[in-house]
Amino acid sequence: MSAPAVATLDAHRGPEGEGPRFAPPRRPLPAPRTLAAAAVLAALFAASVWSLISLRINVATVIDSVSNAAKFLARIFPLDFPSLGEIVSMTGLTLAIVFLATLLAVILGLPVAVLAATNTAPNRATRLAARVLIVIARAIPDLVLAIVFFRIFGLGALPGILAMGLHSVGMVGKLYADAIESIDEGPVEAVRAAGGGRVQQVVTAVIPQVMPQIIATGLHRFDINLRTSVILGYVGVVGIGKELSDAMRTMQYDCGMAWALIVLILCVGIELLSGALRARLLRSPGAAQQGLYGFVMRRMPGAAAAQSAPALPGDEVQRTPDGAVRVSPGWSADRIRRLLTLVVVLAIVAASGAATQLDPVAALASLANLPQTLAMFFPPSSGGILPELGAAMVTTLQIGLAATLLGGILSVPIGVLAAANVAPSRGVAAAFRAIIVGVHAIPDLILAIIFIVITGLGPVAGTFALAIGSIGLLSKLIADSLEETDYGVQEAVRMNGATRVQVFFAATVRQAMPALVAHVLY
Amino acid sequence: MTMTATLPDPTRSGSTASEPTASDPTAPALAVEPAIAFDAVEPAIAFDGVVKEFRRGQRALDDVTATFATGRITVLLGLSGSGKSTLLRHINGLHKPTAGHVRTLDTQVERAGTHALRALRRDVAMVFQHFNLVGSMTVLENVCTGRLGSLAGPRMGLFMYPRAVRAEAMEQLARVGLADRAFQRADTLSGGQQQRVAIARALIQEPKILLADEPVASLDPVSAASVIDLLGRISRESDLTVVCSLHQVEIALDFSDRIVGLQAGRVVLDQETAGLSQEDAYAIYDRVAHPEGPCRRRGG
Repeated sequence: MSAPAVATLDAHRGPEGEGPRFAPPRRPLPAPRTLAAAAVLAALFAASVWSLISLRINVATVIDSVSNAAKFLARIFPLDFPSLGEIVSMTGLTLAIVFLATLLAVILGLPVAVLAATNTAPNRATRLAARVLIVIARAIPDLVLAIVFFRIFGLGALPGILAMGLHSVGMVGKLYADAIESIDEGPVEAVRAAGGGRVQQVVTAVIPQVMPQIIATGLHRFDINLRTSVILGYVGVVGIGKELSDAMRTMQYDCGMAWALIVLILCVGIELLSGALRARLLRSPGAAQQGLYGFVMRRMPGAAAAQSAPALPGDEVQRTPDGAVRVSPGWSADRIRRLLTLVVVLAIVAASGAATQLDPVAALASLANLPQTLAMFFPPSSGGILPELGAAMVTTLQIGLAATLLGGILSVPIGVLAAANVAPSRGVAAAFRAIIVGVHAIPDLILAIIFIVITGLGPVAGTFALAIGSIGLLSKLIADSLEETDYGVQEAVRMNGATRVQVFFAATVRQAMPALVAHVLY
Repeated sequence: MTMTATLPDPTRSGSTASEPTASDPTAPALAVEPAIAFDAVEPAIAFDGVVKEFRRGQRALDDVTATFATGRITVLLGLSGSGKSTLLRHINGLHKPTAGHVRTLDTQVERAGTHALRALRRDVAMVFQHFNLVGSMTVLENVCTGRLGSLAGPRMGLFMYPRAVRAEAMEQLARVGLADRAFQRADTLSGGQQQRVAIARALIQEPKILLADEPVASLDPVSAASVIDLLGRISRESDLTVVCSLHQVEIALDFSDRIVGLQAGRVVLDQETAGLSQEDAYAIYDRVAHPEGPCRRRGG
């Protein structure tokens, strides 16, 4: 087998001392799809640059705003904090609304995902219907839903819960469906082969496999909904957002920024907590428990016994003192933890229900107004402001494009330095990861308020707020994409004597490019 | 080529035939004539002219006719893609034939509706190459899932299974030597242990037929031997009809009462194991690698 291969290689070489006999092959023409994708990206880039110029976002604008920033700072200090009781009460109310909205999204999103996933949908029509539902839920902004629900249910917590909950079904359902589609089909086939029905297959073999993703996505959505709740305060959803909005509307910037600081601390705290919980949930099974939790769990009664091999014989059933076959696990640390988790979750549900003062009877009675409320929205009409609407839509598009370009430019260096396999040292990577978490935790609304005060009303404030806000997500995605590349390829290039920069461009970026482009567009 | 079905000879004195086959006139014939008449024992499983096409024109099973007698162990041999798993999955209706008939116990599989198939599957347990356990569930809960066919409603969590089912699952775990691991997560066990859990899950069904789809292909030799010993012991204790696909010819010769060889979806060997030489068994593979004739390197 080896002789012909050698002959083929020799045929490409010239006489000794000369170069290859044949010219290297020509670079193939790019595929039409590649050309089309490049053209679209170039057009988007050109449109983004045009938007930046058109919105007058430049260094001069920034310099002009410096004096405003100084005046603003003078007006907000000292911060006027509300009383501790008010802070606790509003924080509790906000968290309760966000928790119930997220719970609603999880409860509705899971069956929608089962119907939408290719491997669990009963048929094509159901799958299509579920996918359409997901797209609609994502497409209708929670702000719009909140306005509709205020018309139906009146002021209070319920419109906020429903608006955030139903809008979240889009993202939650999509991510759950993706998770379901990537499960191991083996256990499902095993349940089917044992005579299990379709629902039994889903409940017994599918849900347990995606349970970590169900909870992790729920926690992630909780983070997002917490930020959203602040924005919904501007249309009347009770909680911190409404307090903030009321303060800013009455120009009590010192009080408003105190609430903004509370929101910031809350968001950072929840972000860190949910991030730690998500990391623990998605950790590979069998990995050692880290941190304080691991320290406590390793010292719980029964923890050592659970880790070591049982001393009982495997071919005899275990029996209780009264002689019955033992069919329940002992009270190990793990079982206690699971029970406590369940109790805590149920307690939070009950407390959230009490804090938001939900009245199911009144809510159902309000549904009687649904036809009249819907009639107010149909048929849709521009109300004689179509030209203004058109101009506003163009400006909105420009803000989106300009903010993405600015955010992208700012996110690339941060994301690159936060990637552990690219950063010059672990410390640098950790520092930039911390910056990302900090920026990500700041709600867009807070940024918008700050920039409105500094640059004045207009698209510039929105562009800056969105650009800074997008750094948190985009730089994290860039760092993750770079870290997920194959280290072996980088090692191979480095072994050839390449410099750090050469390795970065030749091996790391080259591998991560599709993911990077996808994230920027996202 | 349509093979005539063969029923096992209780005396295990099967004979070999040496006539050329229709598909390859140069190759030695591997088929044997039926050792006993069909009507002597009611077969547990019967294939009659079964064709399976996943894509038009590409036959995974090609005119398979065979019967599998009650209480015997049959091993399917053949290369990857020869149709072993497809044949197994026709027995419990996970696949339905494109043409032909499959009868398992008293159910005509190709005509069975959802309820009839569920009823059939209660009596036909299956063990898989990759164990197909839910790694995040406890060993005991995984075993309990074997009883889902006879339980109404969805179940999630060990305590949703009746106490009697949990006790039965514990008994089956003791039978495969893993009662001490009942409350561990399944993914903390070794491959061999996981396959034993999968066997316990099959046994809790109290099946009449046990299908095993390459049950030792993912295991090291020691674990493989242990699992095969367990399957053989339990099958004989419970008088199960076993149909098992394997790649290891030596194990197949030790373990089975009868061997069925498949090539490109067709049955090319159907013979009692007693009297079958290694060379005859290896010829199932050699005829693909050496179309001009069987490889002479291996001894019988």
